Amino acid sequence: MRDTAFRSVVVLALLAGALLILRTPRWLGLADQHADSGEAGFTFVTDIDYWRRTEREQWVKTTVPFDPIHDLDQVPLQLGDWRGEDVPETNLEVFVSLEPDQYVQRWYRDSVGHSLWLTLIGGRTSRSFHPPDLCYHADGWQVSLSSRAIPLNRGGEIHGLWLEAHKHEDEHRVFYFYLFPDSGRNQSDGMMLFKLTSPHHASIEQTLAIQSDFLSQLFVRARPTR
Amino acid sequence: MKVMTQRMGWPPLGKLIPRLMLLVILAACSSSNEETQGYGTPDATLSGMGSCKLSLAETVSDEEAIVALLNAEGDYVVQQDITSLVTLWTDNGRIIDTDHTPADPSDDQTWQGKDAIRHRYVHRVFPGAPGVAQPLDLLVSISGEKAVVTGTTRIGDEVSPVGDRWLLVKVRDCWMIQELVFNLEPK
Repeated sequence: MRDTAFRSVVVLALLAGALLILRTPRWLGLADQHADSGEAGFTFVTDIDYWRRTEREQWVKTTVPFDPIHDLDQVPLQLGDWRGEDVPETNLEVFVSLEPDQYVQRWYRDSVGHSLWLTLIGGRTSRSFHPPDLCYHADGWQVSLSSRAIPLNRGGEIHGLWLEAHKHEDEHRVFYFYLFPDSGRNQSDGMMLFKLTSPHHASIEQTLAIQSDFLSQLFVRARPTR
Repeated sequence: MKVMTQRMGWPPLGKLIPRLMLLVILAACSSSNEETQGYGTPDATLSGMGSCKLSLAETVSDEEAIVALLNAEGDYVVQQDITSLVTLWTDNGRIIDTDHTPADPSDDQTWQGKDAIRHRYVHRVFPGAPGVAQPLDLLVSISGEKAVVTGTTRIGDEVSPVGDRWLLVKVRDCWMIQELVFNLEPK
């Protein structure tokens, strides 16, 4: 009888262990949000698409809240060496077609003279998230799309789509991705497009380094959700 | 002992363990459903990639495998099966829209890499919801581990003779799509 009982305990322990291993990624994800609570910051999920999860989906730690509950205007104008100014969107078509809940457009410059545009679009419907490459193409720009991973200071890297757009003498280099309040990714909970746009004043590597420096003011670290 | 166990409300151990195992399996299934809606996996094996994903008979020729691969691409477009679509492509795959001027690259649009290719399918192709998307009149030219295929574009109502040119590569016996150049036909 003792042998039978012992075997039962062993079997049950193995099953419990298996269950623990199977569910660990999800628990770690949830635990991370709370473990970080002792440290200033916020946790969100990023991905290169909002339609479905991709293998680029990640947890990220941010220095400011990027969710519909908070006013995106509260993103600081001073971010490290970067100083920004609000530049109201003059193309009203943007608001008519996207119907965003929130729309922030800023021009940031650092002390060295680097500059970039920050665009934040918050909304609760897919209508607000027209892919930037479609907008550029519709406006007559030649577009090349790929993806990049920008490393963060405290570990991990942010994955985003990388767009190079040309029109006459103009060239834009755009890095963008989407943020969700949690891994449930329910549209009704809101989501956000985070977009950096650099004019052509450096090589692609230099542009990525400049955008990386700016990103590091807002994003601390990242790790895959699975 | 059996009687005692049943009186206490516990099923016999012989039934309890299979039930617990079933619980573990179900837990695994629910976890998988939540996390695998994206494309591919970091440890995806080649057997699930390219033409090897299609469970073709070992006797099929290279040309038959290539045609099957391109037909599968069309089927997955109709089904809007993005997970399967990206498995047909190499990691550094590329799509080029020549805008009907193949001799002039200045107006080309390109999608480089699986992330961008995925994006194009989802945001450019799927919204049209084509009922048919298989290319026609395929001409396959194989040279070693590479193949070039020209064909007529057929996506929904659009039929454009000699509009597509595919480049495929053979990786460990699996044919995969390396490049698609489209809108080759003049306006």
